[in-house]
Amino acid sequence: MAALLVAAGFLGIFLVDLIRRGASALRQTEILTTISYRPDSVADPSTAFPEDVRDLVSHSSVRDVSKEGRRAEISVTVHYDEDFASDPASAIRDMTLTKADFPIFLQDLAPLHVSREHLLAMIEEESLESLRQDAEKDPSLLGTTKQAWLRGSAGLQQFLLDSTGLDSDTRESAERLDQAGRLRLEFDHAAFGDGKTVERWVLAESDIDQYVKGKHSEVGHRAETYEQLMRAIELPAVADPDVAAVIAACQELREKQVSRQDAQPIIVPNEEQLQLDAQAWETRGRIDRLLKADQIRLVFNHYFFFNGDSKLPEAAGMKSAVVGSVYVLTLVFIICVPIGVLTSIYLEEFAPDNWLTQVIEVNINNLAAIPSILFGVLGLAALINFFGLPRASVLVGGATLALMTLPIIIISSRAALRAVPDSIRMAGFSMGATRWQVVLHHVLPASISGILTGSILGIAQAMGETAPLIIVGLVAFVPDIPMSPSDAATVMPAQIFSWWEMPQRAFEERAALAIVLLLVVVCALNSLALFTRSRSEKRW
Amino acid sequence: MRELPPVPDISRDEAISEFAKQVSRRDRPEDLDDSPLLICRDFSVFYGDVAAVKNLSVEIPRGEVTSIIGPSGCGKSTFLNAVNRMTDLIPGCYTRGLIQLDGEDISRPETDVVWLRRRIGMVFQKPNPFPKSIYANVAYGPRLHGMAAGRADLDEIVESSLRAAALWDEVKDRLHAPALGLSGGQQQRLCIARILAVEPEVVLFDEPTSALDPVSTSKIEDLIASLRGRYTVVIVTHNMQQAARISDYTMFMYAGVMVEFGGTADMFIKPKENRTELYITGHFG
Repeated sequence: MAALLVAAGFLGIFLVDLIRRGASALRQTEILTTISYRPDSVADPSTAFPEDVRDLVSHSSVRDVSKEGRRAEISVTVHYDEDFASDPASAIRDMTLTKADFPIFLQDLAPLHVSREHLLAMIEEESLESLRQDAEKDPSLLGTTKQAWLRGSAGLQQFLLDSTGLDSDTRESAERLDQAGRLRLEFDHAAFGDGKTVERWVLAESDIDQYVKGKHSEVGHRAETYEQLMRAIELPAVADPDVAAVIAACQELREKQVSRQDAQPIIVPNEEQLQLDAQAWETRGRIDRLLKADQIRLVFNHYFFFNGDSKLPEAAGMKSAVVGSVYVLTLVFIICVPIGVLTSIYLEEFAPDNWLTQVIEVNINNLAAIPSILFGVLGLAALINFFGLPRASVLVGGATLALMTLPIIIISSRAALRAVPDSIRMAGFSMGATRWQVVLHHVLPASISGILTGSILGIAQAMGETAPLIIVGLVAFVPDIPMSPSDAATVMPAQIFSWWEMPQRAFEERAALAIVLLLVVVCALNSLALFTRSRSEKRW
Repeated sequence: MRELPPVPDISRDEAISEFAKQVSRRDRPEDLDDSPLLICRDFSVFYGDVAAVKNLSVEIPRGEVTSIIGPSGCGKSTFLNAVNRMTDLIPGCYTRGLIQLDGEDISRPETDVVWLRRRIGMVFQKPNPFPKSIYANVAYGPRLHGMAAGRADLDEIVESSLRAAALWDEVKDRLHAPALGLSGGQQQRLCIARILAVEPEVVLFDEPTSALDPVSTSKIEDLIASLRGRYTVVIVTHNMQQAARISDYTMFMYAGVMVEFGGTADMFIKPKENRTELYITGHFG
């Protein structure tokens, strides 16, 4: 009883601490700012922001400006055929690039042949339509060809911005086209004309976010230091102090304090420090002004739930980890449940009682008790090094966790099968049912909820497992959600692990919130298991 | 509800005359094939090295109720289980000798046990309905063996089987209710209906009433008596009055050996063997 109370107490402390740390991650600081999309600001995106907030906004917002403001374009030969009016796509033909089309250092590669289908996948349909309209206005174009920059498709846009999008074949061609200078990102004149200014709430930088939330932040700390120093030497705090004078005043004060044998004489800052502190003081003042003017606000942190991982704490989210977990666990479920249930049926209902089955049984029981990290080593040795599966992928993670979960599912399924009274089997046999019929008609239906309960608990355990996944590389930095089983993925506990290691303070609250999220999911899975178990209670 | 027979006094003469009365009251079915349905020759059942049934030779008459009595552990249940090959399911259990069902050897390893168990049904000591509906319990056998042409056909089989098991009137309004909601006696009759639905030739009962109250017991006994003629019944029982009340023939087993087999009336009134007499008069067992 006392032990229970102590355990409950520690659990309470743990939960309260987690929620206290994690709650602030539910809100995120945003800044109201104007963004001017101009050809030059898109090339150097930080200039799109007004100067007084330029150093406050997150770098991810800055990146977005260059993404949004530019449009992928592709240079192709347009053939104005007879069919052109009815089918503008006929203007695009297969394209061959010879050595001469490539820069000198790439000329030793084979010449490039790009099929019409690949080109069409890279071109936006509307731009073909506009070609058709041109030809309608000027019929003399028919029968001629011309080289033109056409707007790229959404896939090409994605490819040029972050090397995703397009299918793998097309991507290969796109890479070569890019080398040949046939692709470019240009200021999006269609959307922004010659320049356009919009007003928008954007993410604040993480240190600013921490300051606004009243947590420890660099800007707050430096500003505080600067203020104290200036108060001590009785000079007004200004954004641009006379550095030499301040340092001299400090030295004077320090000598006085040392001769007076003060307990804590003032520390004389160096020039660089002083300038940084003064700058921070200025920045803090600016933040306070913006806060007063309601140009800085705290909003619900949807970034946490709908963004992938990022090196910028303010932009980092759980989405890729959640999706990765779902994929990995689905794979575990698909692998483990059929194999586990069939194995346990064989061992319980069919296997003769001989030394072989006993060896198998002992081994399965032992496997369930092996430290999970060893399964990671096994996955590394067998799946990655021997079978050559791509490391850090959904496939490897799922297969490794499946190895770990399988014995748990087998053991719990066997227990569920054993709980079915023999009288039911006897009844089945005495009706003239074969062994398979007895299992399928009577034993499985009677034990299915027990089997499901065990499987869900096994999956819930796999969900919280980190060690084996670290070994097979699932702690990778994964900003995008995995699209195929061989794509790099990360899972929720691994995401927590990597965030906890990050130096920025803002990651701490995110990791805490991620732990809460993980706990919620695991508790939900366990409740589901309890629910199926309570439904399975049968009278015999 | 039928009135229960009075419990006879333990005194030997009275007991015997009471049994004799009950036995003589019974009608014998007419038009019966006289050849025995089940024939055992030197039949033994072993659990590993231990013989549970030794060199048993007996002819079970067709269409009659044969009871097997004997003290606990005498091998009577083992013998019953061996008849429809349920002993195959026990690791280390094997048989020697011969059992014929209507002239066919059913003790060979290559016998199709599925076919055999359809012809020889078994009712167990504890009612063991499937955890499904009443209807599904009875329909299970016919569905399994493809005996019903359609839904209507199946309904008919279910109804006639439940009627034959004297359960129809009690459950006709809740055929799709769970079978486990029935009382113990009803569950046991459901198990009998389930067996009857596959139209077996032999029905084996392994102490079918030992887990039931007296009222349910008497219903089951009436039911078993009503099976006479249509089915060959073999029943293992601890209750000698039950054996006397419902069986035409009785087999007494002791320590794995068949001591005596004969008409129930003869056996209870003037047993040939001393051990039989001692057992039925309650001196041991």
